Amino acid sequence: MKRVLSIFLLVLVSAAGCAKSSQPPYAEDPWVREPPPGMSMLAGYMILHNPSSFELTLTGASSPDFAAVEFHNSVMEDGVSRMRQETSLVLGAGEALRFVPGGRHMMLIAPGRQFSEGDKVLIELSFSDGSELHITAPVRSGGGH
Amino acid sequence: MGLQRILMIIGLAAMAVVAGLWLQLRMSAPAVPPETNATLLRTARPVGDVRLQDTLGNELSLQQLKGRWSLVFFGFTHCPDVCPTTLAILSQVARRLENLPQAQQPQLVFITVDPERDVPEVMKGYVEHFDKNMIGLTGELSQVEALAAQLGVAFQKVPLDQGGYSMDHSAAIFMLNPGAELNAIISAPHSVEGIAGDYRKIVEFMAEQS
Ligand SMILES: [Cu+2]
Repeated sequence: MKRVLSIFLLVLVSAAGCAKSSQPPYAEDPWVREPPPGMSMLAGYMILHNPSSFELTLTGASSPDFAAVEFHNSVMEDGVSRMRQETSLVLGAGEALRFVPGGRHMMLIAPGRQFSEGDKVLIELSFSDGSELHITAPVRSGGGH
Repeated sequence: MGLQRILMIIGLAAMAVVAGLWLQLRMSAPAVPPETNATLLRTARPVGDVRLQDTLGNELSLQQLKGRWSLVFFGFTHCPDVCPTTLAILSQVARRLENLPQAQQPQLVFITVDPERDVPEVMKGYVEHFDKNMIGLTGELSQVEALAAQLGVAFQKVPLDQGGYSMDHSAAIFMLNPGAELNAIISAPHSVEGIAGDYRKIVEFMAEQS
């Protein structure tokens, strides 16, 4: 019995060791809200997953279609909505960051052209380890889902 | 006096008693306000008149909102996240309430806290994007401030790193009754189900009260 247990433990430990994964991050359901005409800022949303066993730090974003892309968080303080910039975002091992309407979002600043429903927005996310993630986010109208 | 006559009198008397009791019950029973997430003001609070501008640049006094219930939200068009999210929700709320009698359906009102940039033409394109019937209001900053102060709406300009500015602003939705008086305050976070449900309950309750 003792022997069975120790084999079991050995298997468990080695499995955990092997599980150290370096799977790349990925964006689930990225989308950009269709803007009213003439808007200088758009908001993009997604769920950003880090399936690896390592912490990742999101340090920036850019898009060929926009002058700048920033990370913002809409927070509520005493019933007042405030939008604050976040310069870097930490993604723990196996964790996900939710970018959702009325919360954290990608702020797409100064579009180079008009966007309407069905268009695609290219966004490049960069991480502190030098890696990049390219996302194609469709433009959608309405509240989201 | 025949038996028939006596019976008729007793019958009438009984009916009168029942009717009287029913009336008394209706008049004196303290109506229980509905359970809502919204804060209901049992006595609606009058709002001092202000003069704003509609999306065509015509002067519109707050009194002109009379006649219908209104759902009023304050924001600004350079707001990429919270305002579009809320206005999209309001437009869905209006669609969900389309099965109410016409007179009880809400009019949607978006008032800018950034009249400097949100001139009528900008407001027009913005509100029509969300709902073709939405009323967009801008105007003199002093008028917007006067209205905001009465409703307890806070707003403040916040400079942005890359130039320009954003606005911090209250996220509540105000429900004005057909007399253009403040009747309920709906606090964020907002949802279509939450607002539509509270709206129905409040309109029904206020109709019973009157
Ligand atoms: Cu933002």
